[in-house]
Amino acid sequence: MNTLGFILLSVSVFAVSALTAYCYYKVLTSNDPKIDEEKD
Amino acid sequence: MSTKIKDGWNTRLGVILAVAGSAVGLGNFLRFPGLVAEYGGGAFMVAYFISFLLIGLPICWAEWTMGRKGGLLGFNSAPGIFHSITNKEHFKYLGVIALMIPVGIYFYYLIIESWCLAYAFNYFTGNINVNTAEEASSFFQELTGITKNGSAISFSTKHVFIFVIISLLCNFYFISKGISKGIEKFCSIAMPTLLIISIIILIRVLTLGTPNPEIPENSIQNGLGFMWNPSFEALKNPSLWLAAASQIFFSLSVGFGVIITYASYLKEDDDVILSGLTAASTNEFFEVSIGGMMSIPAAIAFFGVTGLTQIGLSTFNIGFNALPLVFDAMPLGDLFGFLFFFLLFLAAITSSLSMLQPALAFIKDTTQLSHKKAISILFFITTLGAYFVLFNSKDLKALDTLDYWINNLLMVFLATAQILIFGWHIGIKKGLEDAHKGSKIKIPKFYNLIIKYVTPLLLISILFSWVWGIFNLHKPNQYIIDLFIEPNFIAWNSIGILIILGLTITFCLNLSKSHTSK
Repeated sequence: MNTLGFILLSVSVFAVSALTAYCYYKVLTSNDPKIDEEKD
Repeated sequence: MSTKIKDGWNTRLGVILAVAGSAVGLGNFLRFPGLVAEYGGGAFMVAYFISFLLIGLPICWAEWTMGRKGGLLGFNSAPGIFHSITNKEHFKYLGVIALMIPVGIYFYYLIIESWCLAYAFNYFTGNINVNTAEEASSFFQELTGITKNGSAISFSTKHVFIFVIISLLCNFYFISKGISKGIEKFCSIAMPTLLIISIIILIRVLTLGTPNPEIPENSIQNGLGFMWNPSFEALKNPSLWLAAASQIFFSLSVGFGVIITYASYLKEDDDVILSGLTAASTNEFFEVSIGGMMSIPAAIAFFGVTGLTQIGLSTFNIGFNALPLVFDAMPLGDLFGFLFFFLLFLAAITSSLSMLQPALAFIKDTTQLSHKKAISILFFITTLGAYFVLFNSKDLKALDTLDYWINNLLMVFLATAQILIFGWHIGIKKGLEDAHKGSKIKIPKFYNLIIKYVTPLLLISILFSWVWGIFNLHKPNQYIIDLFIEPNFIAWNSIGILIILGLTITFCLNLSKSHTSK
């Protein structure tokens, strides 16, 4: 594996992992009321 | 107007995991790495990420928003949703396509799901001993019945039939439990399990090193290099851009009729922007961070680039021909073989459940039948379709034909229509205003232009380049040959089944008054 390949792999993996972690952090730390509270 | 919602999601995390589960499937672990290796290695990722931002996310947000809005107007199935959000009755016929896609895909996806279960079972019981590419291929052929129609129908565990029955029952068990107690509960357990299993396999693959020290070039490092070393020249190739856009498109399950149905069970103030982004990024995580480092590097560590190229880089070749040889050569191969195919089975079942829900919602919306009766009708229709694909197994003709026409024509058409409805019919200002109701994050302003102009243009060009490709009579592809040049009975029957499915849905839609009375 050459240096450029390694950089692209690392950047791609880091980018999607960071985005996913950020999203789950936001989801889990924001209010999550039970959606079915007002259901019939 | 009815706003009564009888079933729905319990938690926001539940709906996110269900949508992510619908998106994560075989494509993440098998199709994606094959494309990266084929199209310029790391350079492919440039086109891939651009497609994610310009095609994947806009359609995703549009579907979540329109689905939630349709649900609030009292509809959970695509025809009602499209009719109610556009206020134009003829748009309900677009919903017919949004139902044909998941049901049509389910017909053959159930069979692929069953292959995964069959491999997992046979690894678990130690029944897979393949030492050569011929043996691996022969096992696959016997299991799937690829050499003769009807040959997969046998109660032997070396044939897929019994596993189709088990997968079918699994799917209908969870779907019969409803949204929150069935799909949501299952995905809330299956997705974390999927993550754990895939990380275990990934660690195993990355620590393989050089399995045979006498052939030092066959190593994990070279496998990763084969996949990721960039060839930026490849970016000049239009096929690379088309492949990247298609992968994003199919992988995220957009234009699939599923997200719009799942989102219809949300409440007015439930976030859709963050939820959509989270589900999409979960899919990307499984695809890039795990799928991108697993199957191809492992295969190259054992057989080298030449060996893998001889086997082939297609989804089925990597998954069912190359990887069994890897597991055979690997210490504790049966265990890792079982884990890998069980992983694929879990990924597949979270996807197939999502394919059933749109049709179930439609049957309930149009007929007002009880949940139990609606399930029985859906079971009957989908079992007939799946049996057609299972029986017509020679050369996988039925499976392949359905897959080609649904993926390349119906899905791209539906996605294009949806983004045009969102950006032009509803209007980008009103559409994004709807999207931001209850949102936890904001869509950047420059997406106004992207959603209105760039995404539709890109989708229309994908559709046109496909149409241009199939009407190239100097070099017709196999699917055109099967239909018009050397007509193939099974290929025509497969198209016939899709047409009958579409006509049946249209007939039921026209009989029903519920799509106009709410």
